Amino acid sequence: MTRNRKYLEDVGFSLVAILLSFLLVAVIMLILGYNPIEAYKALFEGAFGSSYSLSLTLSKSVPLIFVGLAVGFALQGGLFNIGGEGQIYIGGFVAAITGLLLSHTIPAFITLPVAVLSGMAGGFLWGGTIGLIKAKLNINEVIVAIMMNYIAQLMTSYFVNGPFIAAKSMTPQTEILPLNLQLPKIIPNTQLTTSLYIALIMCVLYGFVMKRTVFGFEVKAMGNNLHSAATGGIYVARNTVLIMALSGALAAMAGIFEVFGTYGRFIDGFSSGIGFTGIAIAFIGQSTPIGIILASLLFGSLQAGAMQMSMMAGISANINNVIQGLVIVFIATPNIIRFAFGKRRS
Amino acid sequence: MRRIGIFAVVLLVAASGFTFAQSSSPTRVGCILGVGGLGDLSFNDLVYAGLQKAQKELGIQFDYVEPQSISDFETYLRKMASMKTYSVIISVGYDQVDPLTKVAPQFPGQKFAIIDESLNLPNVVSYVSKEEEGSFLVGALAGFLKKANTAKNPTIGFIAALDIPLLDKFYAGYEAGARYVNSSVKVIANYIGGNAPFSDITTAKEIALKQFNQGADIIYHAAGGSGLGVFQAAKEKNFYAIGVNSNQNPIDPNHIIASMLKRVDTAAYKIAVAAKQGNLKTGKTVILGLADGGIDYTVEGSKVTIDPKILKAVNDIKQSIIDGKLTAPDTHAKVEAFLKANTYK
Repeated sequence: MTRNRKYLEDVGFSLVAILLSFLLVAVIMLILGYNPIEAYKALFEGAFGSSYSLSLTLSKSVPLIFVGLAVGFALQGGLFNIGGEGQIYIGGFVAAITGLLLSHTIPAFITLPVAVLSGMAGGFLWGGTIGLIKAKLNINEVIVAIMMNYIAQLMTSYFVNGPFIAAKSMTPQTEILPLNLQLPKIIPNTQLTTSLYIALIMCVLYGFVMKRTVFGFEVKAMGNNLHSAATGGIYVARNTVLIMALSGALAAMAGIFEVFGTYGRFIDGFSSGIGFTGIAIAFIGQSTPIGIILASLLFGSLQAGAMQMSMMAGISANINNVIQGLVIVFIATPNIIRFAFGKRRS
Repeated sequence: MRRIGIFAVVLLVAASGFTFAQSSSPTRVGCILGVGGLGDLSFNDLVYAGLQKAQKELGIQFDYVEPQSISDFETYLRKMASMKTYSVIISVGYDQVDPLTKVAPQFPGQKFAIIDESLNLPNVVSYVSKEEEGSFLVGALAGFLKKANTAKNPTIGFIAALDIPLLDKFYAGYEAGARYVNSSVKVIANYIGGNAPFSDITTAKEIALKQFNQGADIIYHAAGGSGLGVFQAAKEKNFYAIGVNSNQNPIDPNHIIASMLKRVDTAAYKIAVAAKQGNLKTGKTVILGLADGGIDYTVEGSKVTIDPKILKAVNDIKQSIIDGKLTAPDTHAKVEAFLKANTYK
């Protein structure tokens, strides 16, 4: 099969899967007594109907792009990073605290990059730990990552409930970051910030590393066949740690830019599942930069649209999770199965 | 030609339908519920009930959203404000103060309302309650009960999530009410604190057991979800508890004797009505108390029988507060002065 034909087939497959999920959810809505046409109209308007809706779709997509890249990168190397959720919290928290601590003494144009880099370092270490445990002790990275998610989420939750809670705040969140540390908004009065550009730059960088560098080649070689990669002289153990660490740093960026862009502060539990949605995005997007951007836009528009749908049609915004879940089932299941079994057999 | 004619007719009908919908559009209210959403048997359900009442009685339309986490508030506020279809957008709960402070100034043409917290912004109206009045009544009820069972050192307990001004109102009202009707009663108060003061059932239970060991056999809580720990302790050691905010009596009708009611449904209803009449007091704080139905207490749903004479006495006190003859203290520092100035006859 030629490359182009396979590509077209994949796109067609994805579209059919999306349509199928919408149809199934329409049936569910009918059974529950809602009007699916009205609901989908609200969903569409909420995602694309106005400049605000569009900005909401984009701002919801940005963190998904980062985590999509993170998971996609690990997948290319034959590793499964389910720890994105934890890395988001660690990255966001470390960056927020660094930013708040430094903002009093150091000018913003230095503080901001330092804070972002320290957040990424946090994600790097958090993800690298998972890789290290896998490389040294041969413990499945999925189990370690899931446990590390709990540690990260609960630890940051403790910090913002206790020692780092904003003064006089009754909600668990840090102080708000000074305005000059927050990313500028692309459209005023929205939550869409220049983090969108950073996400797109990371996509280009990701594509470049995977296609044009030796390291990218090594990663793909490990993903294709770990044993032949090792035989071919690739340092599998070292790369396992490095891939998970870099994946962690990428996922951390999602958290960092939610904190410095969307919210302007670290709020307890702000991610609520971005890290897991990122897994679906990487699978649907086939770990390619374009695919990840498109999948993020799809899920971002679903999330943005679901808000309006719940308002106008009275359907719980949770129905959005059902649509997302079905899209994942239809698109990713064969891939997940292929991935899981293919690896076991080898 | 005929096709154009049909097209024109369709267009005309559509246009007239559109203008019709525009001119007769009813008042539309947007509501951002607290995290937890509907089915919490508390704030969110009450607000929803208040808006439903406004819809039924006055034809006010409302849309509501159930945010999944506190980080969603800002997004929903912006979303609703950007739609420009709502006469007022209601934020439920103190944890929406920060996002509302951020969003409201960016939409000066949009009116907002916040329930349960006071916010000083020109396009926001705040609705808060006189919790001290309802607490005063359940305090008086506890005081009367202690009088009836003639214990040697009559003691009652109060457990709050945090030592903050909002919860101080509950403490002040409760102690003043109890000691107003029963001068020998002693009130012990403790705070839960820690990481999750409003959902720490275990610590609340420990504190309740400790207070029970110190002789308190009626305990009132102002601690949200932590209150369940107080009820568990009451069940275990067989003493009385008093619920808060919504009618919690059915949770354990054999041990919960009464609940102080914070009628946020009244607040939501009043906001919707004011929005329809166009007289929202933006920039101001509206304080609802016993007199306007924003605060109350109830023994409904409890299986503990209370002497009707006591209930009548409590209701008499309620009436004197409504009539303005009695003003419950709203900080604990004012309790002694209140007791000096007022004696129960």
